[in-house]
Amino acid sequence: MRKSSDFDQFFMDHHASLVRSLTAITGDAELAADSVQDAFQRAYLRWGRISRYDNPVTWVRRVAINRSRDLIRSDQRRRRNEDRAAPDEAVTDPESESHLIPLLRRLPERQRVAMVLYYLEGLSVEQVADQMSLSQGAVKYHLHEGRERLRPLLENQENQ
Amino acid sequence: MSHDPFQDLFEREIPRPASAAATRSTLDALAPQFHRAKSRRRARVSAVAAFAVLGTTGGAAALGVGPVALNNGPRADRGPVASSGVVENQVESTTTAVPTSAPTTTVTTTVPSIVPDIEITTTVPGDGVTAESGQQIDNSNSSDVSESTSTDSGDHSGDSADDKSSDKSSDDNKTSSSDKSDDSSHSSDSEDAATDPVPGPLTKSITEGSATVDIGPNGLLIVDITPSAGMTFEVKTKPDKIDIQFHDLVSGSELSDLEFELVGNGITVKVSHPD
Repeated sequence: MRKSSDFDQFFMDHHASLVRSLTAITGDAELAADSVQDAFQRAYLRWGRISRYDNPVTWVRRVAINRSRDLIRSDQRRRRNEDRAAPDEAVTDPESESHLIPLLRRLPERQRVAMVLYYLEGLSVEQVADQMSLSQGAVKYHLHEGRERLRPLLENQENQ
Repeated sequence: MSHDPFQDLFEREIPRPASAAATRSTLDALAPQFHRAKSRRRARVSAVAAFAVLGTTGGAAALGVGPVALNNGPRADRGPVASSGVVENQVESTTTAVPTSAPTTTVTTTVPSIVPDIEITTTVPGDGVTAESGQQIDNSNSSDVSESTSTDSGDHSGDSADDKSSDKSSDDNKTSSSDKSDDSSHSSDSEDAATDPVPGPLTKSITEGSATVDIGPNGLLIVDITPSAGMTFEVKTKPDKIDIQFHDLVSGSELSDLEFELVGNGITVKVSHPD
């Protein structure tokens, strides 16, 4: 029971923010929710081990990002998206509310992930590097490149 | 970072995370699914195990009808033998009959699925013959033994992983600590090096349940699993090397809720919960 309650608290602490980040990364709220759900389910199955990690959310976030990548690559998933009914009540449709998400999708994935983790989740460069298995220098590079690519896109959007 | 306009942009433009109430609702909705996933996972690995054990020693024994002796028979000359799987039903204490020319090792264990401490003690009531390092004991009677302790000849044992090497064990040449076994220490410390067939201890991990380890008539390690739902295992043995790994067969990850320690030549085994 203790483990279960620990997991519940872990879920409560991180689920929403992870869904938000994955939504920003993928541009698809439902795919993000699915990916995060899968990641939490995997964590639940291995909670005895995962809970002993220094930072379990790093593991869950990595699994969720990898899972989202798998889902995006899946043609089957794309077909399901086309037939998808209304989005889950708990998840907003990011495209309808955000001007940023469509622009983020035009960035390379590493730039997009680095920017979301850094600006949205508030991770440090070191933490982003650890999360993405990159050097800190590489993370700084991707952040710089992401900003440089995003600026003109934002300006164009404002001018329209 | 706090003054970076991009941070404000992200905060403003990315939809706010769900509220705590919505998250709680999501958790409540997902909880049954998580539980079902766990059950399915256990059932799945159990099915894998049933196949593996059936192929190794005969299904009746594997399912708790009688003693289970893995890796018996004439497979010793085929190098490393591996078995993998999970046992779902409780298997009672195992006593493995061996010919007099081979070390007779009785493994006794009483292991509930989840207990703070699990101990497996073994004795060697035989005539003291032990396997030599890298050498197999005469197995002239091994076929008979194999047939008498299993419901089939064991020809299928380890088919899926015969070519695997047990490389990990070779590096674990540490001092044995046979602290729980009355007769176990003589097998490794007091005899000359040639009769100490297996380096140890080896520390591996399992989840719930336990395993018994025995020296078979060929000098092969016999491992029996005292079951617990969801427990999976993989065993690789040959006379001079032992490598035991317990894996989640679905994910491939190593399980680590319990520490499993194999000391010496399989005579002393201690399983304890890290807590």
